[in-house]
Amino acid sequence: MTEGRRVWAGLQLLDRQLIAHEERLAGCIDDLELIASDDGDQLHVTAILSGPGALAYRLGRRRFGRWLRRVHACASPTGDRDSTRIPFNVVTDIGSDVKLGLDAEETGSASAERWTRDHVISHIPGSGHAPE
Amino acid sequence: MHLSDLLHSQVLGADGASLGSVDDVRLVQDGPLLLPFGAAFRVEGLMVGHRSVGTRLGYVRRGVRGPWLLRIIFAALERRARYVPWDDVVAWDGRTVRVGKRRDELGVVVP
Amino acid sequence: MKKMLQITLGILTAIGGFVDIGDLVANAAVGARFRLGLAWVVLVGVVGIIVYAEMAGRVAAISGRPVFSLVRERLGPGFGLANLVASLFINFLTLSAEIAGVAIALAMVASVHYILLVPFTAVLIWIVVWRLPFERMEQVFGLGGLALLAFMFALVQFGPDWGNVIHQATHPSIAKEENIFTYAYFGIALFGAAMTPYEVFFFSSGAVEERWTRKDLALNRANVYVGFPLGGALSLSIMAIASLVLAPMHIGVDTLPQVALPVAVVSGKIALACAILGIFAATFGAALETGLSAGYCLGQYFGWQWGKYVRPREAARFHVVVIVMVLLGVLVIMTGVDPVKVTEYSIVLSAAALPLTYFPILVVSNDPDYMGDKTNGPVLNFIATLYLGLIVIIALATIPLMIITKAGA
Repeated sequence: MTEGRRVWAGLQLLDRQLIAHEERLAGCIDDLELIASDDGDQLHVTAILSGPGALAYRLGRRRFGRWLRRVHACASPTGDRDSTRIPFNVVTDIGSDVKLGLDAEETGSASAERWTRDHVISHIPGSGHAPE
Repeated sequence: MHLSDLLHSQVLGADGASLGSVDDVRLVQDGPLLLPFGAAFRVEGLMVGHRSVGTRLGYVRRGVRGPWLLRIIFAALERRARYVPWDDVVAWDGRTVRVGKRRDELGVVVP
Repeated sequence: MKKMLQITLGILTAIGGFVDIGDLVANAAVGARFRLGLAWVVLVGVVGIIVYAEMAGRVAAISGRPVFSLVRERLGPGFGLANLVASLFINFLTLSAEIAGVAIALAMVASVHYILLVPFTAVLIWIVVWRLPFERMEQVFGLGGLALLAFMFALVQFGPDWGNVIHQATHPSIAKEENIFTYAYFGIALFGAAMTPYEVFFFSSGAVEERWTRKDLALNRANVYVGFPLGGALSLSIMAIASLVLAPMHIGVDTLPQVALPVAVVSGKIALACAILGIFAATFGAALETGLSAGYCLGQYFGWQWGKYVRPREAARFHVVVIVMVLLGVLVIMTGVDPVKVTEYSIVLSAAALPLTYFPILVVSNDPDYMGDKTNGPVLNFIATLYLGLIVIIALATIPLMIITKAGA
């Protein structure tokens, strides 16, 4: 990635589509995590927030958003995986969309997608049928 | 904290006057390394405006050139905004940003 | 050669797919009531949908981004959400009307009350969404819609005084029984039927479904510049035949079978059967489009995996949304609500909601970062801006007119 590159967070990062491995769509950038540097003077973007709770928080429902994110993390199989948080390390490209070096399964609301798949769609014959 | 905490925060100038609110945040990629991505983005400055419609359309800051009429309107709206370098920010308590300069000491937003 | 075939197929599909229950009802009702006094509105609407769809298709082909992703990106999540709610509501009304249209078309043949056929219709619609590949789906129902040419055939067979017809169309006047408000209201309805947002959601998402790239821009243009005007001609022939057969007898259009009545009167049983087949294909295709559009809107706003280009199990939430929408549509129609009234509300509200989704497309089609060298030219921008002004005025006028005219009574 080019050093010294400048972007406008609202214009070029927020609300952009996230694309994971195999061009799977993996949610939108709902918010960004900022962490203060050790000397407290600078703020750095450390993670993308996408998924349950993140959008609610962004739209002003702060308490509801935080609660939703916590509930979602607790409900994950290991009980502590906050998939809403995507470390910025895995970003591979920033353009009209943002590409991630991850499987879509590991991001944001993938668990909701999984639940819907396992409990609703899988029961309908033909759900594994290839499109063409 | 979240970027959305910073966005839309009230901004007060050195004289206590309201400069508007944070419409957008400029990031520069020169922070600590986050491999394999590269250097992290650091907050470089704030675009302070009056929440006018169209800050996300890209008319000034992203080179969207047409249609002519829309460009005139949105460019005019965006010209009212001011750019505050992060170094000029004195304090931010999660709700209000205090800047060490007055409005007339601040420059316009450049792409 | 293959390219020519592809382009021809695209055009034919666009013609047959242009008309849905909104166009059928609006054009026939207006023809029966205002004769050709509002014909010019169809022309304005067709040019509008050409401009809108060409931009949306080009944006999707070059940037891979469909309409609703752009709505959230450029207007922000707050406005985007309001937009989403409004679009879904109107989509739901339209889907309900189309499902009713399919059931009524079947009922015209089966001599059973249409409500009894609604659940069967819904299952049929869903099976097609679930199993039929996207392109095949478009082609089958687009080409089936060409059976609506029966209306054009009936018009030619009627053999009107073409000079008189042209004169009527070019000299719009308001009949004594009407006033400027009902004229304007039905004008808006006609416009909304021609320039429907769901068509553009579908068109734009369809371009991504079919993996369009720069190379497909010519195909995009052919579909839009040739297909849509011919679709508009089809609409006008529905209006014209209604004005020639129904208007003199003071028969209004309150039900879908009355739309096909002129064809039966002028050209007999076989032409009527053709017209019914066309109505079936057109409303069925439109039901598919509106059902999928609901999934597209929601999926694109939240960033979910959507589309028929992946296995259903890989876009689970998308398919659930489509299923739920179809179920809700069925429930609404089964309450016995008048499907023509539902249609009317859906097209009028469509017209009112146009600016919400048109505006971001107009801006993005001018964004060099997204479009490279394929941004809008100055002429297109000028026309597109005029249309933006027009649809904003329409959006503001719709609700007041609805109240003043008591929804066109």
